[in-house]
Amino acid sequence: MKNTKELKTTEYDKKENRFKTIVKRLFNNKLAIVAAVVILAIIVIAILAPYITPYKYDLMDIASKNQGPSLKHFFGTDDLGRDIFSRIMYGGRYSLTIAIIAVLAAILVGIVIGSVSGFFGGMIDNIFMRIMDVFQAIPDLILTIAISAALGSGFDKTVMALAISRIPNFSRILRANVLTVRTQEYVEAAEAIGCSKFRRITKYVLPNAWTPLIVAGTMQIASVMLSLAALSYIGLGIQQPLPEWGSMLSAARGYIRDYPYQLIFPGCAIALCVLCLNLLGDGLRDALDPKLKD
Amino acid sequence: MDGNEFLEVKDLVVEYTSGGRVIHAVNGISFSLEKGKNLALVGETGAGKTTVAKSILRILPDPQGVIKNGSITFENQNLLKLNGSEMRKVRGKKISMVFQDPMTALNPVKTVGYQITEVIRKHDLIAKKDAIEQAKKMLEMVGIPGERYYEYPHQFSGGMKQRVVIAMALANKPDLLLADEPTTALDVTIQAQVLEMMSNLKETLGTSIILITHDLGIVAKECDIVAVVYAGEIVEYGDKESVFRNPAHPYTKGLFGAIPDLHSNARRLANIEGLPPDPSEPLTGCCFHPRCKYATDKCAANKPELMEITPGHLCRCFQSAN
Repeated sequence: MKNTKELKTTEYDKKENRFKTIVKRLFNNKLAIVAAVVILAIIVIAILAPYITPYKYDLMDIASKNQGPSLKHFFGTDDLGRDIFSRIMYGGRYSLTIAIIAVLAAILVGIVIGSVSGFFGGMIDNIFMRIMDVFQAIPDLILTIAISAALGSGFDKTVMALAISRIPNFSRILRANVLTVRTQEYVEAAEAIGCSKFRRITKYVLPNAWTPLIVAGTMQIASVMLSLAALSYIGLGIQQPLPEWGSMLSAARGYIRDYPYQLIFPGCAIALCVLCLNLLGDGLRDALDPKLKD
Repeated sequence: MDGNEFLEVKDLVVEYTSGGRVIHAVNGISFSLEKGKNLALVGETGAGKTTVAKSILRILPDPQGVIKNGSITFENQNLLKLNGSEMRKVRGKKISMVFQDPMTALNPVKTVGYQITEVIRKHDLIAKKDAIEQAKKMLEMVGIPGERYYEYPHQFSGGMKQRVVIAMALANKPDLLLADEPTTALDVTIQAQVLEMMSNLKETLGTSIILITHDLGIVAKECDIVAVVYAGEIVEYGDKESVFRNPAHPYTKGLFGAIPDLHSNARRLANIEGLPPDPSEPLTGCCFHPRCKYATDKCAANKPELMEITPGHLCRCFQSAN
């Protein structure tokens, strides 16, 4: 009886692959799971917003403007009598979508630049990295504002501005990893079995080098959301009447003394989202760390 | 050499550049190999053995390693003249390589089976299903159950990983196998198994092997021809029997002298005094003369050529010629 039991556990160990271990480790981290659930909830709310919000985001009711939180308007109303609760639920659509798309785009470009310059080295590496230096010499937010000011406001242009300012970050992380991976013997072995450079990069180097980008990406979504809020606050980025959280802050900034709740609620939404993304990023980093044994 | 050799390496010169310094890794190595024969490249660390193997496959680190001179003829084709895509067809198909450290020679994120299948499918346009079948057969051939196809390298022990590496190298039934210290990272019992397996496979597949090693015991067991490499040059070359019975070069004698003897009471192991020459600095005369007990003024001034001392047994030393 004892023997069969032992046999079963070893069989189980064998079948367990890397992905499963990572998920298991992540589930052991309660804080990260709570954060993931909150983010998921925000995403679901944003998707279902048109069906579940009590009011439409741009429905104005001048008669009941600047009202404090009540049962009728959970988070109160703004200076045009729009329901802040509904606008925050809608706001996830803009804040999160833009942040996620911008980070994905930046990761994609970062992967190309990072892997090419890390793998080929020499002149190509030098050229790419000096260009990245130029971008990195300017603080993230200033760079975003500059690009955004040059391109103008709007969804696609804002995404572009936010993405461009994050590319150096990702390409540097990946390049550093590619540099260590490409000297591994299995990459050399891949050349010895007749793999082309492209195949070596995509099948051998990248799969072994890109995991840190998951963590960096999660954290960067939070940072991009803050940049986006800042952009909208100063009048770039997403414009009224669209209910982006940063632009809601911006619109309400004149009433901070009289109606502070108009800033507090969108501010809380941003803070909650950023906090959860950072917690999830931390959890992912721990779960992906190969040196950690459980 | 009748021009119809299976593999002929002629006057191979390889240099590495590192931080502005030029390192002369291989300085004019020539040898040839008949089909079905095994050649051993013996020598100490840094002698240029691995560089020779990598030159044959042309996988020297780019751009640091450059083949400066020489020709490598394989099945009547000068490998150094082939372009990138022609060369990729040779690698893994006609010539394949087993690397020194099995721990790092497998891609950690792919299953071992996938990696073998990839080698097969790279060179043979066969259906995936057939390739998987063939890969499983290869695994079984090296003594690993086929159902372990879907496992990852970290689930294998060192010896099993090396078998997987060998299975990968032999998957396309190459004509030539370059084995770069295939047993150095393994413990003695596994070493014996791997060597046994390699020689069995050689019998069944008819593959020639260039074995790079510093273990003379392995050479005695596996090889037909021995080339002793020192400082990027062949100092002694000949068939196993003549080199082992009558080592002619002082360096070869030193190597044999360094093998510990079970029956001797010596308290210290014999060694060869001194260190190999710095490959970045040119050396006049015989490359071994600074360490050689028998060195004369002639050795320091002139460079000896490879001279035939008995038929088929060559040695780069003035002493042995007399």
